[in-house]
Amino acid sequence: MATATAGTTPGKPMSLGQHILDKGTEMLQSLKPVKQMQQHVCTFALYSHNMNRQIETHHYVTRINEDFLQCPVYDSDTARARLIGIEYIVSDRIFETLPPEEQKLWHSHAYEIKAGLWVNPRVPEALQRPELRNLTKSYGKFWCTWQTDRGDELPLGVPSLMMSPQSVGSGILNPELVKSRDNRYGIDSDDLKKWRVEIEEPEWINPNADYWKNTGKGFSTEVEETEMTRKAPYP
Amino acid sequence: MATTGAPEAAKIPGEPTKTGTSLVETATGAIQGFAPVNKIHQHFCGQVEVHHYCAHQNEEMRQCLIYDSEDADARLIGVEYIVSENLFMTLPDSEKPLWHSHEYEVKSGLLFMPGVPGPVQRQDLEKVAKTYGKTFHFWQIDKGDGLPLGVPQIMAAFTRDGQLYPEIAQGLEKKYGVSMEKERENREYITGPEHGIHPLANGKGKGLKLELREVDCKQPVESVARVFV
Repeated sequence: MATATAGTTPGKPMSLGQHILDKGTEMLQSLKPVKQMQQHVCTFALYSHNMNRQIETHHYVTRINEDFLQCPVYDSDTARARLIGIEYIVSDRIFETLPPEEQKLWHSHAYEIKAGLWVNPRVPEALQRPELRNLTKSYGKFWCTWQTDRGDELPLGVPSLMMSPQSVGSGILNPELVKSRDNRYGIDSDDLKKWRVEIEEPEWINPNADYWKNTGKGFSTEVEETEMTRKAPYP
Repeated sequence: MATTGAPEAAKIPGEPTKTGTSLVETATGAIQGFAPVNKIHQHFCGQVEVHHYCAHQNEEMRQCLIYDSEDADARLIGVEYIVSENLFMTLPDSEKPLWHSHEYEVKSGLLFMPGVPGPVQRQDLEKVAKTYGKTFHFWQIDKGDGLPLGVPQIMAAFTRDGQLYPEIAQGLEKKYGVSMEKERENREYITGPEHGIHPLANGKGKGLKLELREVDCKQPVESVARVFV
């Protein structure tokens, strides 16, 4: 799996010179955008084009406002973690304003939260509760840019659209995947699920989300050649 | 972005963060570990004002988050992976067109590290000039999108003079107090990839765009029962 036993990226180890450069630039630069990340969420995702491929994910969440969050996604929570993509999260209020064509690319979060799959490692469940309540009604759009689960040592190909785990059909997670995560953090998703019974289910999950559920269709991303624009788009 | 002559950044829709929400986040922020993001050490600014925050995986590979500004509420618009010429050469030929060279952006002065003195920057840029990058944007803020809509864009790099609008360059120079002309001279001595820029890189000279195709993933779920527990 892409996680605890993270593979190694090919390349020489960092030189001392590069370490010093990095430290030096870090002291001189403000790095404000990356210092806004306030939550580490561990959960799971499935490739839209092949839902048998399922991965554990680590999201480092920045809240931009009450209705919008943005997260770089890594394949583990270690310093060697590989950046495997980006997820955007919007509230139901915003989701309902999106065109239907766009809604098809998003997934719902209610199930993975209610099922105890979505956790903030090391945060007490009670502290997590208010945020989880908010997020059950949210939708996410996750592009995976590095398929470390198939053993890619470097990021190959184009981004894949990801879906969320669900209670039915191809959305059901491999229990081994969940167990391995649970063991690593000393948690039990089944216990969490019982605890989270009292989080209300959303009254409405827009059926355009989780597109595969109604259609059996996923999306694969392909590259096409186009005429190159000669100048940068202005602005 | 105002200084670059670009339109006002489209506002992200949504309510201001409630105090309760931010309290919980401050608390979780204090409890949780942030190992992957604490590795981020470098800030580059380039091209049409995007800001790269980069972490080294090792000496030959960096992974970067791309933001539209350097502020606390900056929008996360994409990712870039940067590899050495060595690693680039190991990529399958079908993969190479997705990567772009950095030689021109470095040598032209377009790419710089805000706040870092020239001589220190150049030590690192000497390395960057020999690398290849692969960049995806998920949020077309240049089109004025207030939310990340549609499919990812694969980004090309500037590879020669005349591709960047002078207004943009001037805006950046003013904002960061840099002179690209002067930097260009200072970087004269820097050299690109040892084997020259690979002919398959930079989209083989073509533009590339991504499209989604519907594929069968599995049989649809018979009844979409919304049972959670």
